[in-house]
Amino acid sequence: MLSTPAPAPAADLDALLAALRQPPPLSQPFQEVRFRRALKAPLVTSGTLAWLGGLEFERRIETPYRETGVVSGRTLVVRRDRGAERIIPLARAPELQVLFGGLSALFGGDVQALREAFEIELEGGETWRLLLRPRQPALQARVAQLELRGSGGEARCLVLQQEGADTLTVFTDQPLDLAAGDFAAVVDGQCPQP
Amino acid sequence: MKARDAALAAIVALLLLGAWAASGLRLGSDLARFMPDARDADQRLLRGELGSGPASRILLLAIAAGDEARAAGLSRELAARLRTDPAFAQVLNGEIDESAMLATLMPLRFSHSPGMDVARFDVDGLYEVLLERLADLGGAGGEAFDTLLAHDPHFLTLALAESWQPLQEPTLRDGVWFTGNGEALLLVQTEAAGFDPQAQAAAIATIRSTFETLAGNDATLLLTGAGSFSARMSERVAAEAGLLGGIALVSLVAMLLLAYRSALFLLASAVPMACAAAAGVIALRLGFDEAHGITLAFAFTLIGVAQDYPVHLLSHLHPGVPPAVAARRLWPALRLGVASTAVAYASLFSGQAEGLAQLAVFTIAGLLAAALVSRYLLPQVLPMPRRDVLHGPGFRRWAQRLDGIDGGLWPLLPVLLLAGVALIAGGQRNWWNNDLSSLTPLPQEWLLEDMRLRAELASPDARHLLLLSAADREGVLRLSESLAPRFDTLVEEGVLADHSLPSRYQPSRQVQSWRLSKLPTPEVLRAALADASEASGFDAAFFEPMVQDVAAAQAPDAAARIAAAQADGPAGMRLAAMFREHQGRSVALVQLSGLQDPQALEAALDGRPDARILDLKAVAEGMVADYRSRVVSGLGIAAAALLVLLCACLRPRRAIRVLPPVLLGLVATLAVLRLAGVELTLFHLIALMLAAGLGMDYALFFNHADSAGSRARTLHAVLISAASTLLVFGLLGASSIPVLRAIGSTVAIGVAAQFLLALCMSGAAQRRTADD
Repeated sequence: MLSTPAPAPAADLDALLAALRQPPPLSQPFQEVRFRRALKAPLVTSGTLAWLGGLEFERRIETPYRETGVVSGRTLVVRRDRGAERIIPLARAPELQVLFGGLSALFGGDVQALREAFEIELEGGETWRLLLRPRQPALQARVAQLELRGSGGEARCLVLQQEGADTLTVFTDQPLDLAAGDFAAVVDGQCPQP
Repeated sequence: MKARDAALAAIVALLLLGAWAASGLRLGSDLARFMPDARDADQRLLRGELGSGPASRILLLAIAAGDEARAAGLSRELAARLRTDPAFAQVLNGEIDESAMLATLMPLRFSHSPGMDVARFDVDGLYEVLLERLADLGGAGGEAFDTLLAHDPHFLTLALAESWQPLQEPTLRDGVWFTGNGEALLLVQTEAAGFDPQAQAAAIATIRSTFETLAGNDATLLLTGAGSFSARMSERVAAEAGLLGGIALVSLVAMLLLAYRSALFLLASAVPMACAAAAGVIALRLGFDEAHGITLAFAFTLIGVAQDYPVHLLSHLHPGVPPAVAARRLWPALRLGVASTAVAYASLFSGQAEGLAQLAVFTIAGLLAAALVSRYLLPQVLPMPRRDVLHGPGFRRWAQRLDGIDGGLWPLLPVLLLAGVALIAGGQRNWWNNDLSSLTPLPQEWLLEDMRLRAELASPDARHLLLLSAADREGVLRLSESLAPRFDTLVEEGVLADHSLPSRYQPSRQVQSWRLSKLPTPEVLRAALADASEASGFDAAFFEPMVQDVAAAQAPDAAARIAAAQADGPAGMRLAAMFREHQGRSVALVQLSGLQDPQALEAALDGRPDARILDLKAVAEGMVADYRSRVVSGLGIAAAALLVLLCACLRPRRAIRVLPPVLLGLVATLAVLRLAGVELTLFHLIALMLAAGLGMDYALFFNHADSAGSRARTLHAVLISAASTLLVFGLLGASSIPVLRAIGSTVAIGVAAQFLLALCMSGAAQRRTADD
């Protein structure tokens, strides 16, 4: 069991946020694993996540299916090989709102926006764990927190946990080792631990 | 003394009976009752929709707070509390309660969802669907999502929910609707009708007090809609009528005290009015099951004529003439006055509206009672006078000066001149205001606020309705299904923004059973799901809820359960509001949003008789015009009847001298109103009738006075009558409420004109007749 992390000293947090700041465009390969009740085995996907500045993202999934999701302001447009494109207002998809809102503020180094939208906790030093808890009650009810893990100025893991649905995104192009079995063990095996 | 006690007892008994009748009188405020009987099918529909239609039950709320997050929070909390209150049928603020939505819509998905038209349940079809869902797992999760997935991997429920969503939704921020001005926007539908001010006021008070407990001082709530208008209006009318009425009452008491210098006389002068009110209420109680609020307000205005009856009696009292004798001398004029006023008021029956019929019954019964009380009961109660009221300060000098006015026919000239100028100056302006909304005129700023919020919501066009009719509901639904593709094209072309065709909420039985026939048996489905899950990585057991649902949809009681789920859900409410039984046929009133081009829509309907556009504004204007022309022709008949009555009761020569001042007074009043740019409404007509009734009395009494002394007394009485009417209605004319202002100013102008003309013309007529 992890103890509740203490609120981050402002100086450490500011230093980390400054280090995480990146000029757009930013493109990173990722491997993602989803643990779902409905699935017999965890589903692994891979692709690239590009940040184009502000609330503009492009998430491409290459395997095991192909999908392009473009976030632009208030909407997400999803295109797949088959079927019509789907337009999803972010206001109707709390997990995406938390995910992309958090990443946008982190990469953009917008400390003020980040503090307005989230309650922030930082744990560790050289290797660290950053917890972002949405302040909006509607979001909080659906997504309790967004967890980032990394070392130095580099974010490596993104953890999003919901009832019956756990997702780990690792910014790497190397296949993930899922031998550990359960979600928490997989996260600890893949991500830096503070 | 015995006669006095009996009279007192009779008065008290009448008043008590009136109080009893009033206590049991049900007060209605359905505006439709004040509307005329409909002439054609369209008018009948409109009449039914007024006040009780779904649009009239909608309140729009805008919450402004320091920051948007606060406003959004308040919107959520307010909506949550109001949703638990049975007074509200619906509370919408943009939030989607997914689990509640799924629970209400899921039972309908196989029969109602447009997704069924393309859904496949074989292995290949299921495999494709499951691959889609696999991809969806990247963007969504949680309890609600898993439940949906397990029951409905085709997402039929979502397709259904989407087809019910308005095409245009206000901006969503933090999950709730917002206006362009940064206010959180809510739509509340009350259970009570829009024109039920008591229920609306209660609903609004609930909303406000709930909001205040939640918000404290750092946020404001703007509330508009038909219901809020009727509640705010009656509040404002009550407040202003209370204030103005209070001032009027005090001034009236002061004036009567000054004129008669007797508290007893003051009290006596109030008796006939009170008896008139009592008799009117008793007549309403006997004749109708419910009295209209507007009727009562107008009726109390119209029986104001009765205030003059005791004044005449009191002014004619002096030492040596017992009250009973004075009353007997006055009776011929009083009797004729009452009879002619009753004939005039009877013309209200011609409006063929229950509200107006009530008004006629109330006022005629009231005036008869007041006259009889003034003639037979009041004189018994009054003591023998000890001094002459004419010995007031300076009255005789005044009376002589006024009595010296010998107008003859000369007032004709200025009045005709005035009328001529008014006719020319009035030029192009409409004589009549045909706007139905002029019957409940509201301050402009209320309407602007309402329009702003409505535009944000893209809520339905209040002017145009689509009317679908067929032999039964199934027929209407099929008609609606056949029109739907055409309407979708019209939406794409921008002819209209959205529509609510009934088949969107309930497919015809034909379509429903075709959809249900596509479902495989549970065994076949289970086997197909096993193969498709195996191939896509899902756990087949996870989808067992879907297999159970398909089995239930094929059970014998499935149709009943679908019907119940539809009736209880949001669609049931919409459809109930939409469908009417009309002349043995089923009619759907379909709301249209953002209609840009009514002609294009009309053309698309191709002139088919079972689907047409109803322009409510045109129907309403036609209805008001019809209504008014009936009342006006009724007034014409009444005028002819009056002439006959006067000729029968007076010598023709006298009769011919009573009517001209009254008619000229009407012409003069109309001319003044027209010069002031007023378009006439029902309110003006009623005010004109009151003024004419008063003028008739003035002329009759002047004519009846047959000696110098009697003339002075008549002058005294008429002066007091006219001055008190002018006072009360002049004050009403200062009101900020259009209706009260219209009635007040019209009666004040009318009474002034009637008094002057009666004084000039009847005085002269009287003298000449006396000289005969």
